[in-house]
Amino acid sequence: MSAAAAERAAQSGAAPVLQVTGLDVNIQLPNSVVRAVQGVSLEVRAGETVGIVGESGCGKSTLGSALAGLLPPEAKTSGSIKVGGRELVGLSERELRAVRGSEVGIVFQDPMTSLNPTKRIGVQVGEALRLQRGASKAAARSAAAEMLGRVGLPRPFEQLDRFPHELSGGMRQRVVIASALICEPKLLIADEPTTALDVTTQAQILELFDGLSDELGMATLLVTHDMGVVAGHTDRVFVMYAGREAETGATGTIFSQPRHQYTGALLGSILRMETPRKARLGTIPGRPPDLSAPGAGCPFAPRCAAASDECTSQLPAASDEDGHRWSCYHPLAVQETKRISEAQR
Amino acid sequence: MNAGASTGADAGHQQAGSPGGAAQEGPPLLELVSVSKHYRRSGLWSGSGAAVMAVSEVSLAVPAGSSVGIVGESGCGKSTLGRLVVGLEKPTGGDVRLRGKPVAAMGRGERRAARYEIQMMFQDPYAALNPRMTLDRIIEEPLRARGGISRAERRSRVRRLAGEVGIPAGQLNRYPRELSGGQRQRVGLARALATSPALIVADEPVSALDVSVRAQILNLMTDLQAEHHIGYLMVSHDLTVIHYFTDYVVVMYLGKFVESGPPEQLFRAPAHHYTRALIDAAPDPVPGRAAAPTIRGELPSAAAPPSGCRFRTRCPAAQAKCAEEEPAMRPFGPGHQAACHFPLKEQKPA
Repeated sequence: MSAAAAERAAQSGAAPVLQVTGLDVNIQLPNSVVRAVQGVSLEVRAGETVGIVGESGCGKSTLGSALAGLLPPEAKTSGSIKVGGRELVGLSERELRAVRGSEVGIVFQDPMTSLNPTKRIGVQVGEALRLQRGASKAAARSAAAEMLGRVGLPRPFEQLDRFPHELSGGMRQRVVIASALICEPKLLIADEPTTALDVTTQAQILELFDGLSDELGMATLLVTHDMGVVAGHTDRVFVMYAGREAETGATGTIFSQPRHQYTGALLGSILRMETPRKARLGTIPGRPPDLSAPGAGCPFAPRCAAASDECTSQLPAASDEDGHRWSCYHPLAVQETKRISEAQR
Repeated sequence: MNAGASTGADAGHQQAGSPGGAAQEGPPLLELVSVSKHYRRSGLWSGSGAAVMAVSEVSLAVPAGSSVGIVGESGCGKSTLGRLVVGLEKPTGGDVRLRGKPVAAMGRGERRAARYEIQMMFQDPYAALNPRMTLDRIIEEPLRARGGISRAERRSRVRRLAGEVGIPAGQLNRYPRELSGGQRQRVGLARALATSPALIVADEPVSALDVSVRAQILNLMTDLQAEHHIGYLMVSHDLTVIHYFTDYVVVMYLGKFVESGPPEQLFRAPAHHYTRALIDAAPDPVPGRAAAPTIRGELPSAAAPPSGCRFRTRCPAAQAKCAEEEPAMRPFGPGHQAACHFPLKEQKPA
């Protein structure tokens, strides 16, 4: 775990590697504006891993893309994104590219969107080292082979001269991960990095992320819908709903004492090995709201079992208890949350 | 034929039938008897004539109304097995039997009827739904193809099916792209149900869905099973889903079954090191409990599987014997068997 590293960083009082303040992302469509991210503030310190969770359509991938500076031109970003103290909002594409190559590593779910089909694996993985660090061709090649081995690609030296289409999907994703990690970035933004992989490979990759957090103090932002991955590999969780923060706090706290009704419902629908076989599973009725027409009030209210008039008229303010923050008029009592976690055992 | 696989299969037949409770009369709904699927490698390197053995002499029974799960890593042959069952692929050896009758021995009409009795649900329903058809056309399609009922009757059946899977009638004139992932999977399920099949092969039916929607679809699949006495053959890499949903589980590695048994036993106390490794690697939603990778690397090539036990190259307990001799299926309790020379637990009578 990276807990030790996170503690070290916190004690040293170092500035967070990633600091996001009041981030809005509005996507202009022909007839409407999608308010994909609204007022998000979060930080990730060196050695720390923060998980972004929520259903599809809650803005978590848009948030990831915004932080990576990879949104399409019709998306307007406002607020502040600082990486290592440097403001990214407003940078030119060229300046962003330099930051991405050296300080920020990026892994998205679909490896084919990140790989160049006409370049050999070894060249692609080693490219950032050559461009950003001025490494020689031979040095980049051997570093590439080493990193490919660390992400679990079998016989890495044999793979260097192959092209992406010659590899399986799982192998390609590992090539993307190797490219993202080769410059030992300060910050890794990973959007469902292991969703397409087998559990055996997933476990290896996540272990590698954990190791780099510990060894190099890499800060990681992990966007995922897999609560098992979040539970095992993050220090803090950021629960997103309808483009906003619903709840955030230490991973242990979020799982054992969720306060927001949405977090409670999300945790209640997870399947575990302990879930009684064939038992009725908890579900969340309906689906996340259309972000181009946000209503007044709490965006979760239409699907929430506890919603009252208050909920539909005004957005709830955030409550904060030692860094555990939630925005809900009817927070789950600590007792109730215990019941949820017991019912799941 | 491999004696071990056949012993295992016999035990499998008996056990896979029992969880449903009701005693099975006659042969099981679906039976695979020593089924193999080999692909000839084509192209530049085909000179050697090496065949890729995607599925190698596997035997399995799915009793009516029960759920059987197949787990394993990508490339283990689990999806090929699903495709063999629905008839999208033809076996190169062995028999697929429906209610005791080999599909290959059926006449044309009979085989056609059999095809409608076994339907398929895909991981990504979007890829499986024709984007230019409205939902009602998509659900109606298998009924039209089978023929024999009037247009009006088809229409009313489509409405009933949509209702059963929770698609409002008012949405039936929409196109797949207008739906969420969960809604699409509901449409996929309605289409699979259209011809009143006895068996649905579900290949990763909930892997692409959000947790909340995943729960909805699994609840729905359970309801439909109870109402229509449908059998499921569920192919998945997600152990929690397989544990929750199925009555009998088969673990596949490089085209072979390595362990099978009731989910409680198989997941609580596996006998095979591969099953153990899969369990250890599965992420568990308990904070601080990180999954531990106990095996590394990838599946070896199916064109040149390791000698002896196919798992030995990645197995923490492999010894010289494992390279020399292929382990046979041995019993580890009622309905539970595994093929391992140095198993994790004591052998027990079936």
